[in-house]
Amino acid sequence: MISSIAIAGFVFGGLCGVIRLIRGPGLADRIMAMDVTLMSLMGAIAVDAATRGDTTNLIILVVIALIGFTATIAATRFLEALADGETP
Amino acid sequence: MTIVSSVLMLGGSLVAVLAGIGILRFSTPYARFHAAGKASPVAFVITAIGAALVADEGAGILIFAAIAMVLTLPVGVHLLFRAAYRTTNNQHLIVDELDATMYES
Amino acid sequence: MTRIIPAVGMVVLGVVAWVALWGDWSWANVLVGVVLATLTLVLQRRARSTPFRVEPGALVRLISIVLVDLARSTVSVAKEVITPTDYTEEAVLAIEVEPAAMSHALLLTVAITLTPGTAVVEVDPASSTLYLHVLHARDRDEIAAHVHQLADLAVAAFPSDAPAMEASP
Repeated sequence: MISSIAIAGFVFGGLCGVIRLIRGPGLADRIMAMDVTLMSLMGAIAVDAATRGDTTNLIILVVIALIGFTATIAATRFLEALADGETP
Repeated sequence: MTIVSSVLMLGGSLVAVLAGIGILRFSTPYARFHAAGKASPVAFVITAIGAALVADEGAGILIFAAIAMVLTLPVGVHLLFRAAYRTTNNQHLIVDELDATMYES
Repeated sequence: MTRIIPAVGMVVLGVVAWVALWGDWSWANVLVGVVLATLTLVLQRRARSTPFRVEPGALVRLISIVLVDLARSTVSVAKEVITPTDYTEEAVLAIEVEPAAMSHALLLTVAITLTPGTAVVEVDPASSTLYLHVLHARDRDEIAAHVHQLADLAVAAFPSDAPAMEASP
């Protein structure tokens, strides 16, 4: 019951991120929305693994954290290259 | 033990809801970055601590992921601010002490 | 001797991270972790040697200040989400820190981004100036004092004689 409420909160946060991802008036807003969505996914996975006592999915957290960071860096570098008028 | 972890997980979920509402509601990109960059790590760290209290074997991975998130997300937010500063016009800033000619090379 | 202790600490940190990721405290795992951590450390030292020491007292104070800031910023974000606000006071401020803090620009960036209402836009290592985006420009003196406190603590926590490195990627 409690875990369902907690996961529902994370799903709500992730949906807000998806809405901002679709609507966001710029590339920077979309990158940030992606970060928030991934964070919500990580939180939901953590709550699910803890309540079911199943540690199989937990390695996904590390993968998402590291790949999300790399993706943010790559996307912002792309954005700066666009702003400087270079061909990335 | 279970009560504490349930409260922590619910708290993290609440902060995630706040972050979601924040990025939808604030009108300027910079305010949205502030909301996302501060609430996201807090939400995940609180949830990870709550989950680590219950999951015995997975506690190491949870703490590792939480530390990785706290250390990496602010760097991503800094890069976002830098990219956004270069790509948007900054009319709504009341003071702008960062010289725009700095980027001319 | 002062350079051996941080190396051992780094190896221990690497082993703990390795074992935590596997979730398995067997001897073979710890052994593989020791070998991997030592290898990584040696390769990294060969690439760029930056000797540094760790002052535990200052580091603990820095971490506690950052944790308090995290809690405060969560409360402020919650307050701003719930109450109707408009941001008419956004500004980009130039705040000068002492040149020694420039070799800790990464640590400073993390700490400043986690304090309520501030974020780093640009770092200029040449003039040792941080350009901060703030939500409430009228708190300028308070923000500057806080940044200086964080910079002093970062320098005190990791005293180093290394020259200032490239600030941000």
